[in-house]
Amino acid sequence: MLKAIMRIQWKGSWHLVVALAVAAFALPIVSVRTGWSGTPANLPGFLTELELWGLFYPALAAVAAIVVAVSIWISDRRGHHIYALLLPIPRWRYVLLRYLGGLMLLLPIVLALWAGAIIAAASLDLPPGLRTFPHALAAKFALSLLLLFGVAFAVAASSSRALGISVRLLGLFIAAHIAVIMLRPGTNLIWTVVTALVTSPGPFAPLGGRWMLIDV
Amino acid sequence: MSTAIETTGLCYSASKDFSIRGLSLKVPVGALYGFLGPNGCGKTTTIRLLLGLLRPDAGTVRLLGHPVPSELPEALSKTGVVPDRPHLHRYLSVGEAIAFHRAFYSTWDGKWAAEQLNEFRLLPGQKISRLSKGESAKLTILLALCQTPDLLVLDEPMDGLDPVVRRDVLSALLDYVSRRGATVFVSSHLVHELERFCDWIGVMDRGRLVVELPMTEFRNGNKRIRFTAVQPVEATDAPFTLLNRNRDAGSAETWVVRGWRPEMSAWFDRPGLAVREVTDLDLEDGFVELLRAFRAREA
Repeated sequence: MLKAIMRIQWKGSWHLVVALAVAAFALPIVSVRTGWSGTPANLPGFLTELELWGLFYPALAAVAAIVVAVSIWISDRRGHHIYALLLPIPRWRYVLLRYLGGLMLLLPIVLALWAGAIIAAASLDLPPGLRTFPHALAAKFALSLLLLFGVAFAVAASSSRALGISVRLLGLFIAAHIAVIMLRPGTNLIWTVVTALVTSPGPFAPLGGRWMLIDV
Repeated sequence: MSTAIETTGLCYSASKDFSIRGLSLKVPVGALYGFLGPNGCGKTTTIRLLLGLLRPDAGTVRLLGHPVPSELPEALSKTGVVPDRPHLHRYLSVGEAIAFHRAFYSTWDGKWAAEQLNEFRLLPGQKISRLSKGESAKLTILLALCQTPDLLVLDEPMDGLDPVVRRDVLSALLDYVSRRGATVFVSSHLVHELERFCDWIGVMDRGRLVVELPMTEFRNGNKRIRFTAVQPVEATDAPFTLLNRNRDAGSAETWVVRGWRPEMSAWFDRPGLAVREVTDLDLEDGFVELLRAFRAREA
């Protein structure tokens, strides 16, 4: 059954997966395109630029998680889930199969980023004191993707009613943020919540921190 | 197990204006059961309740002896379904849809599927999104039949199909039923469609089951009786059910009755009464009169 699910998911999303894998492969390579010029004066600028490129990794993970999760459920949603609900397996098992199939679709994206990071790291002749972290970067990306995919998958799989409630809660949160800004101009509710989520021990801690292919 | 589908006191409230109330169905094993009712009477809602797609507010459902929803996967493994609307993954080809469906049914009949594919003139490489309505209907029925179910639940399977496709689908269905002895539960709002092959009929209106009986009884028990009466006659002690009455010119009166048997003509053997004519109602007239009487009673 998993094979059958994987086959139809691949059929429905392969072009998106390929595009995301190409982007994941290119990102580390493009991020070091200026390279290390060999002069110590260039080092701080090079590292700053690399740190800025680091913002694209969690962004790519978010895009990949959302795109894959939505592509998995879009066809079931279009058919009002009737086909899935009439299959002779428990519903939790169908969702699990869809989830596992989705993880398989994410694998090429992670592998592409890993390969890109290894190639990018190998292409540089770094001065003493600097080290490359292609494996750590790929692992951090994989973990972030896993977390974000879990959330995106749950949202994409949920009923229209649950989605409506989520959107209303989000709207309430934004309204609360605006109200807080008006009452206490120095307070940023969204930033506070996002920081709490992406810094340890927040649930999305792997998304925070530094995304550096090269570091001291 | 003598019933393939059994519901007891099924209630479901879909909106303020529409609800299923106390629905008790009994579909015998091996029956070709026609579920008849006008558009919007609750046929599709009932089917969704039977298949566990909706959860009833009250009442119980048993499919092939399995309580729904607690043993739904077991029941669905032996039930082929043709829903009322297209539900297959549109980006797949016919062959891919068959391969995907097959993975969930250990009882899949691959040989018959290949034969049926040929019979229906469907190509494995055809995209589902490009199939015509008739081809989609054929593919859906193929998927339902080739999993070799004991029960087939078909929701308006012939709706909008041209006569040629209708005949192909019907012939595949009857071929399967004759070989496997499966139970068929088929809904429709077209009386003549069900008349041709159903041996049981359940009539539904406004969320209620109006009647459930063998087709022969439904077909033969509806009569139009013309008689003359010196004084007005009441049917309170009649052995049949009076559906409708019309006072004609003079002393003549016409009754439409259900549950008629020839020996019941004795009921009219009384002073001042003379039966002029007893005629059969065709199935559609019988259905219309039945609904009219039911609605008058409800009002």
